[in-house]
Amino acid sequence: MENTASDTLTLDELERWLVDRVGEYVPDLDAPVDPQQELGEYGLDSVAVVAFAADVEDWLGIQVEPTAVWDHPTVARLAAYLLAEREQQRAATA
Amino acid sequence: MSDVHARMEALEERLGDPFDAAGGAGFAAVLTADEREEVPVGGASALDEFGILSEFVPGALGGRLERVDHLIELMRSVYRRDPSLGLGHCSSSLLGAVNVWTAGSPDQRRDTAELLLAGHKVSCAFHELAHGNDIGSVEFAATPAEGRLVLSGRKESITNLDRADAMVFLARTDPDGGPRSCSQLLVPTADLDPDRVRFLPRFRSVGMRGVRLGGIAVDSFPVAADALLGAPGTGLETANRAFQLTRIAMPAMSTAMLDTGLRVTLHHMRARRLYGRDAASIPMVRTTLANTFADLLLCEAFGAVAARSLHALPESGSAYAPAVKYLLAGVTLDAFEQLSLVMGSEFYRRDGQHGVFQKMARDIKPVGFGHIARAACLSAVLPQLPVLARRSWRDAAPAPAALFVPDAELPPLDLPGLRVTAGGKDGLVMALNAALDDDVPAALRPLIERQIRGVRALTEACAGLKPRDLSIAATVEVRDLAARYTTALAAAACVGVWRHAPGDDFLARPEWLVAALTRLEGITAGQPVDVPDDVEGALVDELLSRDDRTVSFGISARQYR
Repeated sequence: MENTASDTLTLDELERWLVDRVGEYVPDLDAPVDPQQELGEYGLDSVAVVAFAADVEDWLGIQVEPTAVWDHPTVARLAAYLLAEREQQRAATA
Repeated sequence: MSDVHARMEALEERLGDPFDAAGGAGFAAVLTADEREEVPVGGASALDEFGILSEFVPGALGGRLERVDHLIELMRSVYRRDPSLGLGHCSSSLLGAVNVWTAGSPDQRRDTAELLLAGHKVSCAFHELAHGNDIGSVEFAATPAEGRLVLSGRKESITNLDRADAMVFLARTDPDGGPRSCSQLLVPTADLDPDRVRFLPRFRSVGMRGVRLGGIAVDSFPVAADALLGAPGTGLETANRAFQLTRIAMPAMSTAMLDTGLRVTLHHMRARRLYGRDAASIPMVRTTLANTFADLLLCEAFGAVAARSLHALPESGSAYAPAVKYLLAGVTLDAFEQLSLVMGSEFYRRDGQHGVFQKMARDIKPVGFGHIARAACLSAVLPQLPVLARRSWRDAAPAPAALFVPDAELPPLDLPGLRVTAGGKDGLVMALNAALDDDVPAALRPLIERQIRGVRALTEACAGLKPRDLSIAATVEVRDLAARYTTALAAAACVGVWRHAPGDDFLARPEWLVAALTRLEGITAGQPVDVPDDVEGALVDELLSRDDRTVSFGISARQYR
């Protein structure tokens, strides 16, 4: 995985990254993660989410509470939230 | 609010000398009550007169809870006499209340405060026997219907369920599961409809026999939607944050049982001649006494530092709290085993002047599984390790001195401000490094250096962990990394306490720290190591002196009645 996301990250790119990353947490998938499917159904439990949220933090360079994954439990919803959150956190520190 | 030290003395005075056979909260009364599976009436009324439950209510709500380390030390006066009284009459109410302080509305917080200030109990109905510590799988349901929530299901093995004035339930509000599927509800007992709610017979237990463990079966009982604590779906998150306090405070209160176990063993050995010499001078006895004293000190040092961290480093509570629970429970349980060997047949007696030992040895057991089991604590720490290793363990800023100094000023406790994870922030473990900047005694240097090397090795091992290694199905080797982290934290806490102790204090001397770090190395290695010969004498001397002065054996060395 690359170290950080580009400044011009698109929603599509973010979704693709999340799909790949979830795949690393859930290694025995038959098919790529469906962005509309709840992450819990893939076995990404509340324990793994703690480490997963930290990975997302490192890559996006913003703060991400694990509860964000609880509140936006599909890749599609999480990507939309994270993109908006990234813009907001950047605006706040600009 | 009266000064906490004055309150500690007042509480000791009310509870009286535990060795006084006529005392209402003395060991004789405690043992008699225990045989009846009750707590001593005299002890309970002394605590009520003292207003003990006000100690669990934050100052902003009219209570006396300002600092977690002070609460722990105060409650040790109760636990050292009778842990059933400590849990059943006092601290079990904290389990429910912390959730209210964390997530409750202003009205819920005020109502619960009023209830505790009036001496009424709150019950925390989370567990179900079928699901153990997997509280996310609870079946007790709160189903929305016509603007209300309809409760159905069972809760079992819950302290004080049949005599609390309010109960906090963890209930399933979303049948689909997931971390947002559970909610908490605060329900006054008076509201319960006897046609729809049935209390189950009392559960009987081997230890903590005076604690009333009950159950409840609820059949379609509607409550108002404003019974919810916080937003729907936040029940597990609230528990995760609120229980950081109790997972530190309750095991830390329990160390007072080890104080009593050690004291009774010491009394027995000092009064006895074996094989033509004083029993207390037999090498195996002396070593066990010194080991246990070191264990008690390291447990209390870690407990106090972690309690203060809730004020000073609140972002790290999600890592420190399960670490405290895991380590303190393991050490105190093992220490009791060792003391039992020294007590010999006297350990097995239910009567006589040392009869309280067997009660303490039974009552200590739930520290390993009550509230949350040791194994579940490691599961809570484990997923945090890679990010802690990445972000904190290489070059952390020095830990704030207030963590290590009793009564140094601390920020106020902010329970709603606690976080679900530490986000890789750990300001404590690298306090080990700071100690080497000083003119560290020769006996300590290699011990501290080995701890630092241990953290370095842990950092490497944790940085290499793969996501799939971190789940509940983690291997023994991986779970051991979490266990190693708990001993590293405890070592850092001990080193900090030693460095910041006033010059004339026993805790400023190197002997106890040599002993504590040696014992921690043994725990890390899975192979107990006795305190080194050259510090054993200093520890035993201090122990005997404290016993003569009726002073506690833990880090506060507080005057006992």
